[in-house]
Amino acid sequence: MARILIVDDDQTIGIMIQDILEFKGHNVVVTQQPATTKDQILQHDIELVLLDKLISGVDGTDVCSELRKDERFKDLPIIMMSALHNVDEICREAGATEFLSKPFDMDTLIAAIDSIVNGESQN
Amino acid sequence: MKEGLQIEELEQEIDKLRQKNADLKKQAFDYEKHISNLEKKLYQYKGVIYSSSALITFLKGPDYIIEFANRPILKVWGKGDRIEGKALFDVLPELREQGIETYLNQVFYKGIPYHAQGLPIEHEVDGKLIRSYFDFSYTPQYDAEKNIIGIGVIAQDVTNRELLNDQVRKREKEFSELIDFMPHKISLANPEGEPVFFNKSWQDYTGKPMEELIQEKWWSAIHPDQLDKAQNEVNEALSRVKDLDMELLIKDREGEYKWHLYRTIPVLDDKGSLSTWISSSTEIQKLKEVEQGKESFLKLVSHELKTPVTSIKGYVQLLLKMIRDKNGETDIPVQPYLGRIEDQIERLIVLISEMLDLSRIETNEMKMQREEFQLNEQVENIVQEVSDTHSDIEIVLNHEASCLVEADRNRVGQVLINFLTNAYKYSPEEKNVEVKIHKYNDDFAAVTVSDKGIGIRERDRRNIFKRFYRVESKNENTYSGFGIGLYLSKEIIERHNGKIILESEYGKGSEFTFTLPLKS
Repeated sequence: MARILIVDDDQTIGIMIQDILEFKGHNVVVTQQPATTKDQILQHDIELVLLDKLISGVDGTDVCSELRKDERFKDLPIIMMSALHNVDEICREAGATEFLSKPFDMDTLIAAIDSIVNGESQN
Repeated sequence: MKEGLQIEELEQEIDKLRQKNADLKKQAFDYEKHISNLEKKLYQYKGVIYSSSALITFLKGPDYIIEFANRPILKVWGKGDRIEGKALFDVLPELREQGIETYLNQVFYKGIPYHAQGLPIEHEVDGKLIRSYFDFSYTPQYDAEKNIIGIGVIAQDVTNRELLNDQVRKREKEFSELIDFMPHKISLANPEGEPVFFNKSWQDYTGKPMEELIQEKWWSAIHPDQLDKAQNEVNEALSRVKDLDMELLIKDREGEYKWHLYRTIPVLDDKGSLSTWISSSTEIQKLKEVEQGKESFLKLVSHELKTPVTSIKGYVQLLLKMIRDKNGETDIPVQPYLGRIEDQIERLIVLISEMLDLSRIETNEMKMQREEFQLNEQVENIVQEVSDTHSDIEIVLNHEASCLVEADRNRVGQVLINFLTNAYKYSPEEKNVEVKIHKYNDDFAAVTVSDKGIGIRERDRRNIFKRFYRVESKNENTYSGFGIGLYLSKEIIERHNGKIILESEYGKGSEFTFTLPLKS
């Protein structure tokens, strides 16, 4: 089980993902303010971040590359997600570990998180 | 003495006379020789005059008696060759009406030569007036005492040249009107790229007269952000003498920048060297606005529409999972209802994706992500998927060949799903579908989907691959969809250099095949 932070300005999506992940036994924190990402990660000792690409006024890729520049978060797993097409590569270039295209299947989301969490615990 | 003196004087006189006689004889001989020479020369000159292609006549006295007229002028006059000795206006009265007499009088009475170029003159030939054009000179002819005795006329028929000139002038006028009439901004520049002409549209748009536009630097109207790029591209086109196409923001008379499609082409002369640059700028501001509007609409559709769907789907899936975990322990039929909701969400997602795909095709953004894969495997997966979601469909899968292809796996899957859902949708009774993987023309892999459904009428067969085309039926609601599935399929397959083949018999069923180049 992991401590997961969801950064999405759309509350319904954030809460929906939170519900699914909590059902799967994870500890989840949701924020709609991308500016607070670093604080939240440190405060809740976050192990994985789910980051939306298009957040009102902010580009998720900027948040992602900003995290990657910080020595403390350079290895933190970040899953980026978006409803926009053809942004997969842009997100990975910004440092995303994984990319999910909206709308995604619950199973896909769970599988992506499991593979990262289990992959890490194996290491 | 006196007599002797007389004789002597007489003899001297006789000597003188003899001498004179001899001189006269010599003179007479010289004259004869001279005359003979003159005659010879005159004959030569007449020969020259007669055989000349120029029209030559000599008009004598105030009545303008035709003293002489060469063959070409006789031909133009068209009055036969027995007119010498007659007055000009008796023979050709039509000339008097055309003001020729005034010109002649000016020469005859005032001694001022008259020259004209391309003068139109009508001659009556066989009762019809024929218009011809002439370059000609009327020159006064003098006698030894410098009195004007007549007029020499030398003319050249330049009708062909003048007709050509007329045509050239006419076309020039037409083109010049056309260029000013066009809403496009047209300009011309010399080989160095310096502008020499701007049409009316340019002058209207900038609010500046042509002279000012010519003096100004062309780039002063270009948006500063685009200046570097525009100058580089123009310089490259100039140095390499090649066409140029670019989109530019150009300032109008109010100082506002508007989008233009700018094109320029070099014009070469007959010898192949650069003579002019022709440029046209077409305002595409509205087009750009529509394009930008469409792009933001697309973003809206993709983001705003997908987001709630994502949420609904998530909760439905979560609830389904929770119920499944509890082994369906509830009185309310939550599970089947949620299942139906999930199906409808899937449909909604497909529709949104199709709409987005359509826009991508229109903006040429649809990219194929090619990879090498076993077509049989992918077909098997899709058939399984469709069987799972449509419980009443019966699909028979036949592998007649094993086919390796290099294509966009998901897009190919999308085409097959479209074929299969069509087969399902248009088979109201017998939902038996056959899927066959085989080879086509040695170099192609082919997948054929056959159904025993309603079939397709001849007139619909041509149209079903068009956007938004939907086969009309008695009950409009029978067949759902946007009518873009087959259009997308065709676009996808053609982008892979394959094709779609349709065979159908109305009332008996249809057979759709797509082909893809085999990976060798």
